[in-house]
Amino acid sequence: MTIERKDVVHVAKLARLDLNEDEIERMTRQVDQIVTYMRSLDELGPLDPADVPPTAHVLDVSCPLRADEPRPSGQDEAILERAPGRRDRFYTVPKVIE
Amino acid sequence: MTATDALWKLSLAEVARRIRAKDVSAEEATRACLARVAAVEARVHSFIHLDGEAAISAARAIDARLATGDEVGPLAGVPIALKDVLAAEGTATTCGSKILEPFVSPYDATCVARLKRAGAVSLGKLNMDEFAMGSTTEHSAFGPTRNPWSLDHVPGGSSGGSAAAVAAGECFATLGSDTGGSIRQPASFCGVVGIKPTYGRVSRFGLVAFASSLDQIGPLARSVEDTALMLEVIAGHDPRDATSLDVPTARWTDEVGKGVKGLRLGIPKEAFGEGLDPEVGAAVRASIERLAGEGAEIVDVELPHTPYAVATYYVLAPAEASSNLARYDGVRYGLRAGQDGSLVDMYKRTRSAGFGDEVKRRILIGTYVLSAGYYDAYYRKAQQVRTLVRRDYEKAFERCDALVMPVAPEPPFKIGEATGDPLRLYLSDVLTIGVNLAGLPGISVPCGASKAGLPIGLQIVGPPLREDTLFRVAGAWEGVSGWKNRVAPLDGSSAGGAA
Repeated sequence: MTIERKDVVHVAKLARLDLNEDEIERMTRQVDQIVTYMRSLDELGPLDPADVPPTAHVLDVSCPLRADEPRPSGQDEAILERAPGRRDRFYTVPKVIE
Repeated sequence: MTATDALWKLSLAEVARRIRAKDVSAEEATRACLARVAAVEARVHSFIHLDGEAAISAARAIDARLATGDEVGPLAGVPIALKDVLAAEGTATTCGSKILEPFVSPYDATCVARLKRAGAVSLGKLNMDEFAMGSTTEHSAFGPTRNPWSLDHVPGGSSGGSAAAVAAGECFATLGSDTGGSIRQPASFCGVVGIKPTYGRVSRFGLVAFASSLDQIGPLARSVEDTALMLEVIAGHDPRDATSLDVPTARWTDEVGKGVKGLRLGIPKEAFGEGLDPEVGAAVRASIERLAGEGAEIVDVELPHTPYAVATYYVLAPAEASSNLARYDGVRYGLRAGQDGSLVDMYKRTRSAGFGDEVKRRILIGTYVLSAGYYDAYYRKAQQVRTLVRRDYEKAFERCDALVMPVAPEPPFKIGEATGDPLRLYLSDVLTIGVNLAGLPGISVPCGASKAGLPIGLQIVGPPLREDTLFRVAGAWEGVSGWKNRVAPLDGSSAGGAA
């Protein structure tokens, strides 16, 4: 077993997911199977980062920059009206600070 | 049958030509497709949202411009449809998920804006696996799409609605997205053409992110030429996507008829190994022989890290997804499940109610491989193996102009056949995901059918930015195969034997 119940419960908490008992049982079994399969990468042995640098991205991404010129999006109202909870120009959420 | 009734069976290139010549109107073409949708959609279920009225009014606007002699674009009046992962102003953009069910996009994705500018008429938004995670379209929150060639089978995924709509004759072309094969595999399963361009060819602005270093948008249609026409419209630099390549596009339609004489085609031996269905292997090998007969030189090549591609992908893609999907928290848009309790309670309730099973599974995997203590063992290691996979392709392309291989190791699954076994489905991505890991262009073209009448696809993969070679090889194959512009009859007959 690579993944146990406690791992799934911990990771679900990090990911802000509530899982019911059925889901915890099933996800533990399935995620264990998948993560165990991922361990097949260990067959390649340790890889020296000098010889095999990690690929984060296939392009040589040098973040393109543009001039820092403020301009109106013209969409403030369109964006705000999609919020599930809103007051004036703010999003509303359950109370964070007592 | 009148001429208008049969319009939906034409190729995109032909219907576009007739509309420009005013032989038929955009409205007639649109009504013909909508009539076909009305006849088959209850069985196929390609669409999540269909908006016939909006399509007819867009078509009438094109007709009005044609009548006054206005300049119209290359796709003027052509009915198309969009995978529901693409933002289109004023339409719902659900990603096949309950968490985005209430969301109506306030803007157009760049590729959608380009299609509109070219005169295309969108019929609506197409079904998909939730957040593009899956290979059967059974993971949609809005019910599965069925394969138009055999309604008991899946259309593939995640762009299953995009492939099925084209195969069923509901429209002339669609857009899909491909993170690990999600354009090519459903194209293969539905007997249509689908291309995943080079990473960076098509702007991802307005594409809901799954795994940002792998995602790419591309077209599906019933012929190689139609797919090339669509790509000519949507490709090109966009300053709103930092990974969009500032490179020239090309007249890819000109490549389709050039033939393969003088091209070297590499056959990767790992793609023909254990687990390959014998009917798929036979159909693909026969295609390669025909291409050799057309003047291509066939060379054997190796992609030795292929056995590690699935493990690499299923570390990296869920890791990126777990980060991208953190934004769905019920605060700014989409679903919010209740107001009680704390802010964190609201996040949890919203995400737990809004995400489906497969999305939760991938979020758990992605969060795990990125979590403290496991990052180096999984994520960093997978990034290193990604380098090895890329090097395999670079080395292979020293010896050939393109690779030719199957798209999927098996013909389409039966609906429900593999839903309880996620790892089995992941393993079936083995021949498509390397292309995403390396950022390469790949195309799927129909190459035959199984005895059961299910389509089989041929995959052609090129070096970065060599879509021209893909269209040459795919066009040459299509020319000799007879697999061109086939519409699933949906009258009970099957795809028939290999041509």
